[in-house]
Amino acid sequence: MKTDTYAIVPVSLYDIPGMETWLEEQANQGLFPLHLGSYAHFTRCGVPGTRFRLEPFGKGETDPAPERLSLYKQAGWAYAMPVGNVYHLFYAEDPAAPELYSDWSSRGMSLERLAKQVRRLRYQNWLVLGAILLIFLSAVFIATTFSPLRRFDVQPDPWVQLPLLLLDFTHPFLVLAIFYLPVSARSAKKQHKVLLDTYQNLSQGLPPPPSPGPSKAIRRENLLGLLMLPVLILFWIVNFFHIGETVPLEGFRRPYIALEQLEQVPVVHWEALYRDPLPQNDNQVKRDFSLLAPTWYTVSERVYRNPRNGTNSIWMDATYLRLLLPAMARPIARATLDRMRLVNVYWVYEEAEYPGLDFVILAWEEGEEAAADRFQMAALGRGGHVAVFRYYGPEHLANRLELLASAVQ
Amino acid sequence: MGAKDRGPLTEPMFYILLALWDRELCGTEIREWAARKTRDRVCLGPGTLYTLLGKFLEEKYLEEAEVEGRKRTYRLTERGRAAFQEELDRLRACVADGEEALS
Repeated sequence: MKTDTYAIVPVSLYDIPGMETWLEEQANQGLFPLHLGSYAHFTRCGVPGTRFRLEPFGKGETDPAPERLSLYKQAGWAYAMPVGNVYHLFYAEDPAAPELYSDWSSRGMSLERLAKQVRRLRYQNWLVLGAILLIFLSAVFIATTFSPLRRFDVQPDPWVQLPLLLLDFTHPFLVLAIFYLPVSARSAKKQHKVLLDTYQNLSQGLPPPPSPGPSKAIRRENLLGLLMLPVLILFWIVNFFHIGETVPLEGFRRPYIALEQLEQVPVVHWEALYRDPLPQNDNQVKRDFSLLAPTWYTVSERVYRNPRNGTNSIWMDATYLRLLLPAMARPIARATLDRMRLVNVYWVYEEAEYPGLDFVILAWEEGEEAAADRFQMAALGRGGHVAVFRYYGPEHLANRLELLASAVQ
Repeated sequence: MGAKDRGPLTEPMFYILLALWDRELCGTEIREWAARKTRDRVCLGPGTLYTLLGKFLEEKYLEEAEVEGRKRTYRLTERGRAAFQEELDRLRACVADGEEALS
């Protein structure tokens, strides 16, 4: 027979009478708690009829004071364990052991510190949410105003990239956190109210109000809390260490416009040219993800031409997006163009028409129209599909719209 | 904090202060004294006793006279005496009002 068993706790830790009753019901089934939090760990050595009492920590207490232990022990109450850094759990197997509190008022007094902490916590939760919002807004402001490249920027526009921030901030990690925080704060507020109502009644010498007791909602919240924690940690690790974010272009299976397709003269990759691996991987794919842009990747590719006459490189970065909201396509395309832009050169932007596309934006380096190789950009959109190219090479992107348009068709 | 701020003493509070009026006692001795004095009418639960002792220490109605292992002995302070006296006067006035009404 299994000696231990686990359960998601269906009672709030702030519902003291409810929690005590639930533990007593478990004891009647022969279970004794070893851990109590979002989940409970029981061992099968419970004695039916055992009473449990949650006693809030005293000032500066993490273990029960020796005097408390001694007084309780003399009265037949033994110490089980700390619960959630808030309570000491005591139990009495002897039905003749006197109750810990002989009047409601002193029971209320024992909750005084906890009630104060809970009141403070209610304000702290709002302060934390406010601080997160402030940090978020400050980050947006700093990112748009104090970018290190800003002093070299000859065409600054602090707001044009804002739509991309919307994509960044609808990253599932942030969305999960943003949804979870208020849900958790709302639930905590409800649970805090149970404790404060209990405290208020007891401190007036009245019996505690009826306990909400076990509920499916609390069980769900505890389960969600248990699941959310590892998910949020995993998301954070993946994001912080950029795990799987960048992959080699070789073997990448999603559609993209290869430089070899774009160039009308023969081009080769570094490996073919020098028979050595590339010293830095210029041919790679950076994958992003946002709830508003389930498909979002940037392909960076560099090729070489005229191998007999030296290495003359051509390169292209191309971002491909599929947006859930087609209305965002143009602002996102414009923002991506701005993010890709080399900030120390003047760009000329021009709108063009192409059959079947919603928009085509072409951009090139001012004054370099006649240059053999030059910087150019292009953004194309159709519905929620967007492709944005930054290119350095001899081709005129305006003449290759048929090929580029295939990326959004 | 005077009685006016705190309100009247509860019965367990009253008997804890009374138990310490002219002697130093530890928690267990206070509980036994109160039970004996009231012929088991006032049975101080261990939680009640521990909480009230802590509260009285915080309010400086009591002070520790001696600590010996797990055993702590308490004594009443002047502040505690004043609070007890104030409560006694209040109770006397209540009793007098009641007797006057019934006579």
